[in-house]
Amino acid sequence: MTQGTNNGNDSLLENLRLELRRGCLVLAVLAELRNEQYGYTLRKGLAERGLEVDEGTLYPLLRRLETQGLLASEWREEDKRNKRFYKISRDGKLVLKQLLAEWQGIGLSLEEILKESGHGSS
Amino acid sequence: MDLLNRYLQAVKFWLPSSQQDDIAAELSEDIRSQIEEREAALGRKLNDGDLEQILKQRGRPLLVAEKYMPPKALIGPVLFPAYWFVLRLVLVCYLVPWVAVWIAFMILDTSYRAQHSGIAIFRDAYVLWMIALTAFTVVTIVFAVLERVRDQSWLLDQWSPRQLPPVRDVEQISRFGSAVELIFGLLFFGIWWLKILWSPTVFDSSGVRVTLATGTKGFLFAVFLWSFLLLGCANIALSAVNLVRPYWTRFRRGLRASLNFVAAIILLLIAKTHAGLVVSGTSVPQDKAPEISLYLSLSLGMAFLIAAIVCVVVGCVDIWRILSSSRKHTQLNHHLAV
Repeated sequence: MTQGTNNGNDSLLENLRLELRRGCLVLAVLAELRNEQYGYTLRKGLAERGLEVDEGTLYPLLRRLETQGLLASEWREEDKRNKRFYKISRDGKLVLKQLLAEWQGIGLSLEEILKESGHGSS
Repeated sequence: MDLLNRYLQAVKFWLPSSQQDDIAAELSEDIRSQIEEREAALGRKLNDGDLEQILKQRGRPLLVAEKYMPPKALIGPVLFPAYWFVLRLVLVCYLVPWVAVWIAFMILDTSYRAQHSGIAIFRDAYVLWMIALTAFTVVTIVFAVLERVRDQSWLLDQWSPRQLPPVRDVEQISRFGSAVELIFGLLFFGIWWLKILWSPTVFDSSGVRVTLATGTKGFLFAVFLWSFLLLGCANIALSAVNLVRPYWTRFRRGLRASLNFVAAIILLLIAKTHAGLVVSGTSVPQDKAPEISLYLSLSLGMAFLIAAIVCVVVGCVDIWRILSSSRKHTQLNHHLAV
């Protein structure tokens, strides 16, 4: 395989990987914000659990979720600095529950499909 | 921290004014947290070089701001395919003919070429460019306005599979089209054109008489009578066969392409002879007759030119279809062999 093809495959894989993770990100953020956090600690927390996300993606997402009423935020002083703390809202909890059920359904379907095609984990 | 403030100011510049301060405050807090963490890891204060590295990692201010904006498009994904289709239509049906006519004039008309050579060619190029730019701008503005004023749900919801056009078979020949070609061929070549060649009168009614100029008639008769007669007969025969067997074969496509190319050459040669028409009659003012004659002759030359371009385009489409069907055939054979 040539270098060009390798680069093409790498970039394709990276795009597909990002696409796959984008869907999970809302779920992860809502789940993490069951405990109140500010942006920086949220990002660190996600990264420590293996879900690295850059700030250019995370902060606009937090704003969007807040506009949609799934998160609530407030500015508060901590360690002599003003920080914006986010927490999941009542609607957010409801949506998270539904999304988790959907997520588990997708997981089961995928497991089934992979088992049939001989790529299953079991 | 001067670098950080300059960075925040640059990001704020691209943000909507209602959100500038809020977003910048949160961004500032996030960067300060990162700086604190880095300082703790290094055990010293960050210098300008370290800070520059952190800010470069964050990205260009414009790109950072852009991520906070709602997705905006001049023409959105629903209308874009229609916009693209109209642009291509304008290119093929409006701009290409303009350029083709200009090229044809430059090649065939010596007086036009003399007037438009040298520096004047840039003026022509500018005019063509302005025509293209105007067409593009008008189409884009119309679609941009539609994007903003029109609810596009009708495009998404109000449709039925029954309204879709029937499946098109490019090899199928329309019987109606063949019949029209046959009738037109018989009328044009059998009556009108041969009549013009045998008699100098093109039109004679209501006190208006249009005749071929004496020299023109003799020239056309001597040079083009037989070529047009043969071409007309071949076209009529092809239309008749297509009417009975309405399916293209490579031979018939090739034949039509050849006939079109030959017709284009003849039409171009006629256009180049500046076939003259003379207008006379009781209803035509005597003082205006030469001017009208000249205008009609020029229009006739232009009509021949456009007809030649149409013939070339139709011939090229036929050649392209023959080549593309051969390619598909070869690919099919290759797949079957594999």
